[in-house]
Amino acid sequence: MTDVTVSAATVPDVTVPDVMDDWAHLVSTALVGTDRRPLPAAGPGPGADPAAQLLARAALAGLARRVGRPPERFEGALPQPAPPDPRPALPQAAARRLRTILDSYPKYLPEWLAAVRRAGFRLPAAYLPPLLDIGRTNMLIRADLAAVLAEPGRWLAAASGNWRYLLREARAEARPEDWQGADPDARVCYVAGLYLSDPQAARRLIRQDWAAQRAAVKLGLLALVSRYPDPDDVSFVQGLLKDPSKQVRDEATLLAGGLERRSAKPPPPDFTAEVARLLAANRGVGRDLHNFVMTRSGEPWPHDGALLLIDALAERGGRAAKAAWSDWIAEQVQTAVADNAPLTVRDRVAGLVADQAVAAALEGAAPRVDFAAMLALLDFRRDMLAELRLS
Amino acid sequence: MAGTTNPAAAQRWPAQRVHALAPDASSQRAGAKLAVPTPWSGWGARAESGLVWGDCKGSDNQPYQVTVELPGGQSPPSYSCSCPSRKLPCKHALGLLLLWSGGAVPETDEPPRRVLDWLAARRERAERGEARKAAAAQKAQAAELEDPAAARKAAQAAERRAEQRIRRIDAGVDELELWLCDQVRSGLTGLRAAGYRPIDELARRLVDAQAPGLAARVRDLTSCLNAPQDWPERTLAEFSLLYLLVQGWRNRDALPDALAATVRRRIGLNPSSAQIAQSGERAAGRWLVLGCRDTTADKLVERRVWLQREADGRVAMLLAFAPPGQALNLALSAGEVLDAELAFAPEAAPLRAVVIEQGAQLPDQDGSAEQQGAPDCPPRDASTRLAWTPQGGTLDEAAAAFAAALAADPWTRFIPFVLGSALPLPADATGAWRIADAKGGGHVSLLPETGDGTDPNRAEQIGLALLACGGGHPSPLFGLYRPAGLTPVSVWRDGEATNL
Repeated sequence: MTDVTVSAATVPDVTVPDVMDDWAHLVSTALVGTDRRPLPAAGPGPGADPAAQLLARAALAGLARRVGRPPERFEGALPQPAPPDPRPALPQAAARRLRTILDSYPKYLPEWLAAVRRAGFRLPAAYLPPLLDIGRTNMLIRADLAAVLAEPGRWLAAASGNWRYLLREARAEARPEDWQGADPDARVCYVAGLYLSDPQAARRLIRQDWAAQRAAVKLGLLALVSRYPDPDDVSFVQGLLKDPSKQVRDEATLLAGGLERRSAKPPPPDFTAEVARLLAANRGVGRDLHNFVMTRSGEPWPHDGALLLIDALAERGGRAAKAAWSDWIAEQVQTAVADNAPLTVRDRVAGLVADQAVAAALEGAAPRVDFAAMLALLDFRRDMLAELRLS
Repeated sequence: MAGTTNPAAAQRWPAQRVHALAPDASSQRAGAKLAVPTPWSGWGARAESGLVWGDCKGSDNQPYQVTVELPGGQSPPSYSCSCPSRKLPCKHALGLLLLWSGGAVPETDEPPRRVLDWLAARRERAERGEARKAAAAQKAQAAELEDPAAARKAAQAAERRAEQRIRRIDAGVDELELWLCDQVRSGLTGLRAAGYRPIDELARRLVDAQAPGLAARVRDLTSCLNAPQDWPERTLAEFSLLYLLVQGWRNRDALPDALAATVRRRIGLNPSSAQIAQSGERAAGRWLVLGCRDTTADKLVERRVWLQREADGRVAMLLAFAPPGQALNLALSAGEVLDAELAFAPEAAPLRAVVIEQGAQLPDQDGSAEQQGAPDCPPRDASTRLAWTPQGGTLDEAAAAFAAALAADPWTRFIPFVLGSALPLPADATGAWRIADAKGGGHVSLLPETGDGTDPNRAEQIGLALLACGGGHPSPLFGLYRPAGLTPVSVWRDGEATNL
C-alpha cells in the first residue's frame, strides 16, 4: 500500500510549477478514468495502482492550488461613507424597547417611531435594515421612518433596490434644485416636502410640469396625490387616463376611482358621539360598535370616547355568561382600546383592575373582561414613550 | 453581607447574553414579550447568590412561579418554572432575566420561602449525586482490592471496545480507499451521472464504521459533483483530500503526535472536553469574544464562539452542542471579555479549546464597580460597549494565515480571521457582494455560508447589515476566511460589536 511519504516519492523531484501543471492532466485523466486514459508520467513499478498514484499526486497539486492564491487587488475608488449624524444616540432602554417592539409588539412601531421623531434621536445602526424592510410594506410609517433615519438612512437605502422608497420621502430641508435634477427619486422627494409645507403649491407644480416627467417620476407623484387627496385632484387624475405609459394609466384609473368614492362618502363621524350612539342602540358592546372601532384603529382616539368604551366593557364584565361570539367581540374591542386610547385613561383601567382583584378575592370568580391584560398594554405604551421623553 | 459572595454572578448580564440563552427564535420572541413589568409580581433578585425570582401572570389562574440561579463561572444557569412548557429555559425565565438585565427587578436580601426551598432541594440533590458518585468510586476501588480479576476484566472490556472501534474504522477506511480508486479508474463522469445514491450509501457505511468525520466529508462530495462549472476540479480536490486522510489514518503511528490527533479528529474521533482539559496546552489571559455562530447538523444545534487573547491576538474556539429546544451552555456575545485559562486541544493547528478556569466575566469599560448595586444604572445592551477592538490584519495576511493553517492541517476549510479595515462593496453588475480591505488593497467575495450554498439573498442581507453597521467606514470585521471569500460573523464600529 502507498502511504503519504511514498506517494510523495512517486513524484520524486517536483517543483511548484510542475505540480500546478500536473493538476490539469490529473483532472482530465480522472474525468475519463485511468482505465481509459493512462496517467501521464506514471510512476515506476508494476504494482503501483495508477488510480492511487493519481490521487496522491492530486493531493499534492490540489494543496498547492488552494494555498497559492493571493486576494485580488481592488481597482477603482472605494464607496463614499455615510454622512455624519449629529443627533444624540437613542438611550439604552429605548434601544432595548425597539428590539422588543420588533420582536413582539410590531403594532406599536408607528407610535414609537413618531415619538422618536419628536425626540430627535439617532437609532443604533444595526436596526436600520429591519426597519427599512418593514417600511417596504408598511406605507404608513414611511414619513416618520424617513425623518428618523435621516441622511444616513438615505445613504443606506440607496444600496438596495428594495429600499429606494425612502429616497422618495420628504427631506428635512427642501432642495428646489432637485426638481430640475436627473434623479427621479429626488424629484418625487422634493414634491413630497412641498406637500408638507404648501400642499397647493405642490399640486400646482405637479400639474404645470407633468408632461415633462418620465413614467417613474409620474408614478411617484401619483402616490403622493393619493396620500394627500384633494377634491380638485379628481379632474386632474381623470385627465391622465390617456397617458402614454400603461403603468401610469393603470395607476391613474385606480386613483380616480378611489378619489370619486372618497368625495361621494360623508365625512367620518365624531368618535365619541358615534360610540355613544352605538352603545345606546346595541345596549352594550355589539357587532356594529366593533366594526366602527376597528375602522378607527390606528388613529388617536379622544379621551372621552375611550372612557365610554372602557365603562361599557366594565359593565359587561359584571353580567352573566353570554355567547362566546360576544366574548370574542369584547376581546377585540378591549385590545383596540389598549392600542389606540390616550394614556390618560390608564388610571380608570388601573382602578378597574383593583376592583376586579377585590371581587375575585370575595367571590372567587375569574373576571370576564381581563383588564389586567389591557393595563399591561397601556403600561407598555406608557413606558416606551417615557423612555424617550426623560433622557 | 453574609453568605457566599460570587463576584461573577453579581454582574447583571447584558440583554444579548440573555437572548443567547434562548433555545430557539420563537422562545426568544416570547421571552421578549414577557419582558414588561405588568404581568410580574412578587419578584426580586439577590446578586450575591445569583438568584432571580418572580411570579408571572399567565393564562392559568395561578401565576407561574419562576426561579433562576446564575451561578457564574462555567456552571450553566439553572431554571425552575411552574409552567407546563418543555422548553428550557421557558419564556417566563427568559422574560424575567431580560427584565433583570434591564435593571427592573429590585434587589432584596430576603428571597421568598419557595425560592429557598427550591435552592435547598437542589443543593440536596447535588450533594446526593456527589455522594452517590463517591460511593460508586469507593465501591469500584474496594472491588478492585477485593477482586483484582474483575477490575482487570472491566479494563480489558473497555480496551476491547476501543480496539473494536479502531478495527471498524480500519475496515471503513479500506472500503473508502477502494471506492475512491474505483471511481478514478472508471472516471468521475460516471459518478456524476449516478446521482446521490452511491455517495449516500457509502456515507451510511462509514457511519456504521464509526467514522462520522469521513462520512460527512463523503456527503459533501454531492455538492462538489453538482457544482455548475468547476465540478471536476472540486471533486478531484475533495477526492484527494479523502485519500490523504485515508493514508494519514494508516500512518498515524508514524506521524507527529499533533498531526495524528488532527487526523483522528478529521476521521471522527473527537477528544472529550475532559481529555482536552487534562492534556491540552494551557493559555491564560483576557479573551475578547469575537463572535458566535449557531449551525444545525444531525438534529443537534452546534454553537461556536471564537475568542481572541488581548496579549497576543491568539484565537480560540469554544464549542457547545444541544438538542433543539434546549439551552446551549455557552452564552457569550461579541464584545464581552472573559478572564480565563483555556486548554487547547492538541492539534497540528490548535484552535478548539475548553475553559479550565474562569474568573469574572468582566464588565465592559464603563461598567465599572460603582455601577453594580446602583439599581438604576444604565445597563448594557444588544451592542456591547467594547473594552477594546480586536486585532486585525489585511487580506494578504489572511491568505498567509490560511496557507500556514493548510500546511499544518491540509484538511482545513476556513480559518477565523479579523480583517482590520473591512468595507462592504454593494453588488456590482454580476450581483455579487464583495468585501474590500481598505488598508491592504485586496478584495474577496462575501460568502453567506462556510459551506457551498451561495444564497444571493442571504449575501445581500449580510452585506446590507455590514454596510449599515459600518456606515461605509473601514471597520474591523471578524469572519471565516477561505481563498474563495469571507463569511462575516461580527462587525465592530464606534465602540460597539454587532453579531450578524
